Amino acid sequence: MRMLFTAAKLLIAITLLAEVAVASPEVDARLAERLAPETLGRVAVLVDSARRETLPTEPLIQKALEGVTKGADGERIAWAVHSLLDRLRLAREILGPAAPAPELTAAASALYAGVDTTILGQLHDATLRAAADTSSAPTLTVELVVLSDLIARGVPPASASELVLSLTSAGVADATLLEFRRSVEYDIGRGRPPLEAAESWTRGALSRGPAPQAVPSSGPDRKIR
Amino acid sequence: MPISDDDAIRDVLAGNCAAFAGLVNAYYASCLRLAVHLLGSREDAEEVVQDTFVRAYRGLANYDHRGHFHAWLSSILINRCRTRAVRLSRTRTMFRPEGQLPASDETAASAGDPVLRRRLHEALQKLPHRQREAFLLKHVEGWSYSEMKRITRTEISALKMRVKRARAELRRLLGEQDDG
Amino acid sequence: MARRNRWLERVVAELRAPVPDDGEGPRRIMDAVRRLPPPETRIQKRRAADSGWRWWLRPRPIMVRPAVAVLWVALTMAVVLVGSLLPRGTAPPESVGVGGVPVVDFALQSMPFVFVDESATEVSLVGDFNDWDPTATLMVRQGADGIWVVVVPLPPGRHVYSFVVDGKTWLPADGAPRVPADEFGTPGSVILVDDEA
Repeated sequence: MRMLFTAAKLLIAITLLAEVAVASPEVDARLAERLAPETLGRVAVLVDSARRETLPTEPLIQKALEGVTKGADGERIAWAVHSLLDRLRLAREILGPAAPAPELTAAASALYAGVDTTILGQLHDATLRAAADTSSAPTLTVELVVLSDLIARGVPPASASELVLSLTSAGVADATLLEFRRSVEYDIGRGRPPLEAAESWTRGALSRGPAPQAVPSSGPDRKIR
Repeated sequence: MPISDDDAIRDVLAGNCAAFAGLVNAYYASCLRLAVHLLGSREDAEEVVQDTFVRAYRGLANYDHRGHFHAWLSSILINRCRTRAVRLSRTRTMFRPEGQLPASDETAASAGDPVLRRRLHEALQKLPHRQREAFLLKHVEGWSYSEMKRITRTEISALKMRVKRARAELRRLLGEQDDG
Repeated sequence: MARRNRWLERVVAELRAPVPDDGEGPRRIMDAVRRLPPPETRIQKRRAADSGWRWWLRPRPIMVRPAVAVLWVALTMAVVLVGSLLPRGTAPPESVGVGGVPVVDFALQSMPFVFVDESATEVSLVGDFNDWDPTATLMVRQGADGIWVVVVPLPPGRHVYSFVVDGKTWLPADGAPRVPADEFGTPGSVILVDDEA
């Protein structure tokens, strides 16, 4: 019995040692090069947590590097990375374990913009339904990019969420959604109040499908599927 | 004779939506109190509690913690409060002047010591969210550490540490005000 | 000790005071709940989702004795360690490019970026594709109209970027989706790249 107990203790020790040897966090060289030692330690732990949880780590690394380039202090950088990790966790909780990295980062961005988790879940459900109708692979990335854009341009988060949800629920195509976004941007640029522009173009997109008038294009937007 | 939570859930799953009202009535007040203390805002707390019950209803088919509906509901509430707190911390950082807190009469009943209540509320909001959460679950809601582990998905040792630190910090914050 | 407990009791008593309620909360919740589909449909959905191969993919709790788990983990680690000490075979390396650099098997797509500013003397493109390095991707001025251009090969996905004018001013792209002002207080834009060739 005593020998069995000793053997068990030995096995536990081997396991722990092996785990430490195999799972010690690797610090990304780019972070090591550009972050102060104290910030590096905090960010490395967060990146390692994401890796263990099979969440995408590159967005966290890029968030830290972005902070360095923008001259943020270490505290701010660590907070931003931590906050992003929390939102990525939340996004995966809502969108499911199969959600691809671009969708998770887009969802994290939308949550940061003020989109409610309930709306995120409803958008996810609506996309799944639309994908079932068309047999296409479900993805929410375009919807979330458009939603974050509307909010960034001044449409209140709750209203923007409802408008994008209504378009998604109606099965509006990604290309139409992006055209809708461009149209809203164009109208806002001409002085139209953001919410009024968004509501007007939502009605247009819902009644006619693609946006009703051509809008001048400038700058890269997306290589459309 | 009052029916148990699990009986009510069986009724809801059998198609009796009204049976859910019994669960709402039973746990609404404690959920609202916890959310108010966690978020420091009555308005946010009401929204989060409503969201919690709606999510619980939608997820009733996934409820498989027989006899632990309150703990299951609390885990949803805790998650919703965490989400809301992340957003609130950002908007408060950006828009709310330092130290501006909701009036105490928004968040607590009129009975008791109003001075202590006001100080306590301010001190509570100064705690890190996870410490505040652990303190409230342990001392105000009266959960055991093993139940708290289930609710927060956090190890018991970490929870004990958070409660201890929260207690010390609360005492320090209130003590400082007493001295000043 | 007794003093601390009295203090804690007072605090807890205050915090346990019920929050005043007009009774509208439960009514609002039930109004919202009545508009939802009955939760049974979710059970059926779950059963359907559990059929066939999906059963293997759905996460589920597994009951296991800690002692058994420890033994299994230890045995597994031992096999892994022993395996790592054995001499490896001579299988050819995976795709290796010039200079031993691994070949990345996703298709990069050339994406043009355009920025207009007549008065700028230097414009760089920064984003999550070049580690936010302002020296990595300098834009080239085309003619006298202040049109700055650069073409960047990007992997499929969602990328966030900004233009940095004269090393100090951060600007988003006109005509591209924006991201909300970030944790560091500067605006950014988004580009989506598909995985089609």
